Amino acid sequence: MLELDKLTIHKAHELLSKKEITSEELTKALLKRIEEMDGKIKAYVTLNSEEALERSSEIDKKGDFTEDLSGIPVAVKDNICTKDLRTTCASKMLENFVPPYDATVIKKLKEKNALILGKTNLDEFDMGSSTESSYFFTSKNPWNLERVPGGSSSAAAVAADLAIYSLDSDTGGAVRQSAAYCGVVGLKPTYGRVSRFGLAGNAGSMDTIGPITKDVKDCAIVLNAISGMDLFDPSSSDTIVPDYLESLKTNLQNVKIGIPKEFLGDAVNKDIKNAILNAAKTFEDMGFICEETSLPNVEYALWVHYVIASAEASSEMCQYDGVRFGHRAQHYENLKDLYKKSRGEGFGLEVKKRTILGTYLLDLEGNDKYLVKAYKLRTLIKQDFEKAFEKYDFLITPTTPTVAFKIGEAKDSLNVNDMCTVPVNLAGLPAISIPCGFAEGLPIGLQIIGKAFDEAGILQVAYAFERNTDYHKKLIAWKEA
Amino acid sequence: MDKGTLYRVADIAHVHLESREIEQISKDMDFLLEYFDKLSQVDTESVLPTVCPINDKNVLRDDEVWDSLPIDEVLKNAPDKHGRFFRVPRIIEE
Amino acid sequence: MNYETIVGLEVHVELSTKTKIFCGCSTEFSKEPNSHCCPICLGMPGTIPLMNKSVVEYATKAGLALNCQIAEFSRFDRKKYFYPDLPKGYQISQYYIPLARNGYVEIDSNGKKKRIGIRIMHMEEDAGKLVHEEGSSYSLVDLDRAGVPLIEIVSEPDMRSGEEAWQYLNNLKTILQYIEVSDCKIEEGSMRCDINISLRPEGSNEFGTKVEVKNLGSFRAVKRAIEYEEKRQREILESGGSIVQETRRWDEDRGITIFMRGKVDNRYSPEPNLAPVIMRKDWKDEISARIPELPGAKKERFIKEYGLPEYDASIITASKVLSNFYEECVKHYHDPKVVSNWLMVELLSILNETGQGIEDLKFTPKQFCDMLAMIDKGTISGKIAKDVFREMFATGKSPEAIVEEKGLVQISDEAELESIAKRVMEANPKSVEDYKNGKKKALGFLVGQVMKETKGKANPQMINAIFSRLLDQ
Repeated sequence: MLELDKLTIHKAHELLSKKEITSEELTKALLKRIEEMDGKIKAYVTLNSEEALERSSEIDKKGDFTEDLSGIPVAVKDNICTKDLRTTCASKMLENFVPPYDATVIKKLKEKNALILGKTNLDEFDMGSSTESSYFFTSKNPWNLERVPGGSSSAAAVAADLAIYSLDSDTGGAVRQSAAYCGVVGLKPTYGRVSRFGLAGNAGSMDTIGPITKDVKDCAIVLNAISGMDLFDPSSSDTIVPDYLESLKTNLQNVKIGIPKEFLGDAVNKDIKNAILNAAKTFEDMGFICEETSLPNVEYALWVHYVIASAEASSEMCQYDGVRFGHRAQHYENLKDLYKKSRGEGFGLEVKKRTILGTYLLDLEGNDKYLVKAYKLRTLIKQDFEKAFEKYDFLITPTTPTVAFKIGEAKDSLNVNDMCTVPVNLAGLPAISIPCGFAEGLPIGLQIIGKAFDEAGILQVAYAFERNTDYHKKLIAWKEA
Repeated sequence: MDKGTLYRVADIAHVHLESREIEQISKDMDFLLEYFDKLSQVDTESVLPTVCPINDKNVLRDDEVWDSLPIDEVLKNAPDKHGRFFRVPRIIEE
Repeated sequence: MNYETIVGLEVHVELSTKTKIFCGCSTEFSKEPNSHCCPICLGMPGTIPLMNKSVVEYATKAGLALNCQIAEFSRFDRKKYFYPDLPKGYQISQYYIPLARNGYVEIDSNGKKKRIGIRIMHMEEDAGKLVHEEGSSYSLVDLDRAGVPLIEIVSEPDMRSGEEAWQYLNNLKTILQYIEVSDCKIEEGSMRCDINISLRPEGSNEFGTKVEVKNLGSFRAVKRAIEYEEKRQREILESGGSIVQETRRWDEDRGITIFMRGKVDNRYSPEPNLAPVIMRKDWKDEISARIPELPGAKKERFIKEYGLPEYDASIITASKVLSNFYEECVKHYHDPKVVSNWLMVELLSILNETGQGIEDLKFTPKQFCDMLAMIDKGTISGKIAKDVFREMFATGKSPEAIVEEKGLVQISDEAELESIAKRVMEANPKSVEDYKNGKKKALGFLVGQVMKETKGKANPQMINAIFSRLLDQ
């Protein structure tokens, strides 16, 4: 029997177009799966079942499935604003916040008749890499319920067939790291490729929105739908958007891949290191050239990222004051106390810590030395990448140095698990994570980093890898077992 | 970070901290700042900082009026409101 | 000891663009609270400020008109403080790299020209409005003004008295009105002024501790507040005390300043969501070309070109619309001084009485000059003309129509006037007698009687001549 919840976008689209299935059937199948499984995985913060069902039957009635995403349900990370649908950022502060507007990416998906199935969990205001700082609950990794799913539960939702695909956000690696931990595909586009209007971000100069999907083809389909310049995001770029799906047909030739040695050091698990070297071999077998290279300044990336993210977050978090929206304390002595209590009660520990650190860095005399230093080191990291890309078309690294860690075992704030992903955010480059092996029975992610606005190239390389390996199929095999 | 400084910074940031949070955060801060100090020694004398990812062109909007939100949307999320206003505890003139 | 007063002003001016600085909500005064709000100006999650092009142009125009250097590259920063009228918890302003610097405004100081320096002029957003209902334990927040574009003009501490500050503000206002970037109505809040004032012993080069004064509702209040502070600070210093850096509030009713709060440190950080403003030469030149003749230059020209006394020229050029009206009139009438007399006396007083503006005038400069020509031709007397003028002001009818309708044509018929004169002489033998006995003043009375009888329509020159002839016979 055809299990609708297991479909990819392109397969579902094919069946919908041929009228072999209906959007309502598909939506119902997913809702049923969620009902059975989400109690264990806890991927969703809010479900949008009724509206999704209503929309699906409307779409069925119209019967127009020309758009690739038409009638197909999507899970959306809960820091992406959805009109009339609660958007919490996994924070008590926004527990009851219902945006009167859609993020641009949501508007675009709705125009293509996509259905929003629900909102998925994250670390509070996306600060963390495990969902453990969520005000609501910690989500679980479907491969092993004792492990974290990464900073976004939407990857877990996609891996566990609780969604066909998801829209997620990536400030320090959430899209890629969660995809890697859960054995699915996640793409962080170039800064400016996808509008971030409506993404309740915390570090404006690094926030991006990207898809998490079951395979590379789906990733190209979603990227087609959400890319492009947006008047509501001045940082969005007018660089031409190619047809990413079409570009997958291109045959790659003379590809040169660099392997930065800094990402294969002692901090990296041995099995993961081997998986990356194996991936390089696969590429060589395909005729690509793979060479070791170096990005000497990425060793500072975690620190630089934490400083910049905290500084930007501390002023970004000022808008949450409980006046126009958000949590307001019941008991207070005066106006200032109202602010302090509302924010003290509304924010969790990690958010407070970063807000305080950011305030310390920005507002205490003399401390701007840290921030200026961080911005300068960011330039050096950016230049490292620029130099590498003079020689190579792509860089490959592990997405994470270890597989998904155990719940409760998160390291200190400067999370070493983000070491391979944050440099990419600092430099504003595009990168994808695709499955490339297993360790401890958990999936390993291969990160492919490209030049700015070369999402097409990354997708082509990832697609070639996917067709020459069967890791993504192992996901399916595992599900069946 | 000593607790005095931490308390002062939290006050500037307008964040109330419980005593157990003060313990936890002050410990983490020490670790972070120690680490920061180590890296402050990296030479970046001649490097320009990268602050804003876009800085080479004007991004401007034409001065054209758009529709504002209807009042129920404006106030929908307000924790407290009165008529068409947001409401806050009385502000005593300083 | 004698003290010197040191004054610097921080002036906020609302720019008259159609939309707010970072979103498309209207800047018009709203009839109901919170009707010009959107997710951006409400500071909702995930929204990004979208810079209004006209704000950059208006601000640049102002900077150029105030003789500033315009930065080719300026940036926005967040000024952070928590207050319910400020969405986002920070105000987007320009702190580290403002749009304009090093300008000046000229004033007259004891008959000499003096330049008041402008240190910085930058763009920022306005906050909303708080309403405090009497007796209620709540304050209400209206965010319609939140995000309205402002320029802040920070002067150097170059003023030495309330009078100089008053002049600076007037000249600043005139300039900004001339270039049409703001209506500068201090009473309505579209122009706001804070004072920084300190005293120092005469001859000293060091500045004393300054006090900031807020809540000034008019230019007159600025002058009064400076004069009050001068006195207050002098008394403290003379009694051996010292000034504390603080912010004080002007109490208009009591005519005093009151302690408001101590020194505060503002916290700024860069605004990562806004691209810098890049003002290249070609754009700047384009804006510069749109700056009209400014009041200072216009005044000089009026003195030279029309032979006006300096006093007349200052009053006429203090308003752009008035000066334009004046110049239109001069095209249609040969004597510029007559025009300025009429505008300064009759027009300004009726505008003052009615509270109307020149832009509301119902008659044209041409019609006004037609009326002046009717006086010259003797069709109406100068006295009647004043009535005609008021009628024109009220109805917008042409002077000819008014004169015709009301039968105000001057009586210039020799025979008719003579018979009236004779009648008056007969009725007032005593005055005739007085006149003949050398009391020349009696003539005035007789003329007055004729005017009374003719309801002012008798041609005064002719009636004078007739009396002279009849009486001197």
